Amino acid sequence: MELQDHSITALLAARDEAAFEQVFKTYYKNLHAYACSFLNDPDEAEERVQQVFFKIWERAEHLSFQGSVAAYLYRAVHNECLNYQKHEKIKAGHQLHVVHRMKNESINHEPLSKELEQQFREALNELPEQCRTVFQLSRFEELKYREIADKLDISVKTVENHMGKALKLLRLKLVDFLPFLFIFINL
Amino acid sequence: MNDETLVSYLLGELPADETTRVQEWLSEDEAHAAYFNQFKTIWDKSLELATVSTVDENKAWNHFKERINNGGKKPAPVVPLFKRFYFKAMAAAAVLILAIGLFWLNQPAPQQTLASGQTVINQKLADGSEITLNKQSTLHYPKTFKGKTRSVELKGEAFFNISPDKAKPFIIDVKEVQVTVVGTSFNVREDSSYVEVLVETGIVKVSHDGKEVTLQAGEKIKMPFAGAVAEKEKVSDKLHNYYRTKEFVCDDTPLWKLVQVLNEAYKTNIVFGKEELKDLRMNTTFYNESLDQVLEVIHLTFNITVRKENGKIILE
Repeated sequence: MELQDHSITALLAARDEAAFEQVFKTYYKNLHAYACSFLNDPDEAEERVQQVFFKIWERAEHLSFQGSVAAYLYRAVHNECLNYQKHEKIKAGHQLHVVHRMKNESINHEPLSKELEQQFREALNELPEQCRTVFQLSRFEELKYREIADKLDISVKTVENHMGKALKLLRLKLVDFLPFLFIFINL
Repeated sequence: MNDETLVSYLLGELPADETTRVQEWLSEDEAHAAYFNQFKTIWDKSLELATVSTVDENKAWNHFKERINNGGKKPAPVVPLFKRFYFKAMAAAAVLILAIGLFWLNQPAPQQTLASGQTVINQKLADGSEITLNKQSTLHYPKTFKGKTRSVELKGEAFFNISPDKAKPFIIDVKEVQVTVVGTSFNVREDSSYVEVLVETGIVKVSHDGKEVTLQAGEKIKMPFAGAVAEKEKVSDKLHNYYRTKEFVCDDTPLWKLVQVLNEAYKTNIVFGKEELKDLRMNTTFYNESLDQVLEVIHLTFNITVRKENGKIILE
């Protein structure tokens, strides 16, 4: 069911539980997949998405949407995940050498695939927020440009620009690995 | 051509007239096509990073409602029923065992490498499949087969007798060629310019470069690496089995074919001094005999002279 953004904003602001439930259930799965693509950890991803919805609930009366509800939610999950990762990185600093040792041990078995996947993930997650969201909707939710434009309340031309930019940036980051991508990521 | 247009073309978002324009641009220059292919590779491969979420939004919503009532905290953990240390310790041990079990189950199976060097090796895999690895060949395989397929990687030549398991196809990667089966026996041999697959029983699927060929028992194919079209052939002899059975079975086999296999098996350089000898037909079986014994039989059968010279063995 498509949500009418203007009325939904008002209902969310009023903490209308039925409206909230509808928004929650409409987007939860896709947002979870989105968070997973950052964190690569389904449980933590769920926790992040829950957290995003909780923050919206808490600050309902101060909500201001500049685009669509979808654009707002994807942006919120994006920021939540990046903040979480930043936080984890600091916490994990001292564990690094353990991880490093484990990596070395497995290197004989899987020469490049894990490392490449990691490169790919990082490149993807370094994309600017809207660019990343558009890429997510196009690639992983398999929406057409028109559908993405409607969902995020932007023009088709903007979607096209974001997709061009996304692949351009990915290409720049991954160009050295491209010969390997042909072969190894499948292992 | 700008990147946005290329990406739109890749995603099938361009109007027809612009599509034609991009296609012309691509065929203009190999560099254009190569550039476009980089985008395509990234696009194709990125799908493998996709996460399919299996969460249940109804359950999640219930959790969320608990969270609201809890002031934002995760729902409180269940209070343990038995508070005595004994039970706690048992529970902790159970969780630990479970965790170790799960961790172990989720590890990628360790890879084994089998390299034959100067001898032919027989090896049974975890699924019961039997592999005979010819000399100078290598097989990479996992200690146990996890996941939806049974994948191994071959360099050189091997005969496979695969245990049937329809739910878990057996996949062999040889250079750029992929061989897929569910349960059958067949021979795979890598050469400098092709991979040969020869089927003894069952059905085997060979794919290379997006093309796929299905082989039945008694058929073989040479998949070339570069361009050329591969044709199925009928298997006319059992010579390919020599390293497994230690037998050279000649059944109306032309001499040139026997010589080819002998050269391969004994790493020799046997050549014909006279062209007309090539098509003489052999009908015999050599079992575990030395090269000299085999040459002696050839000599006696056709009254051919066998001469050794400069590392060559000349038949004339």
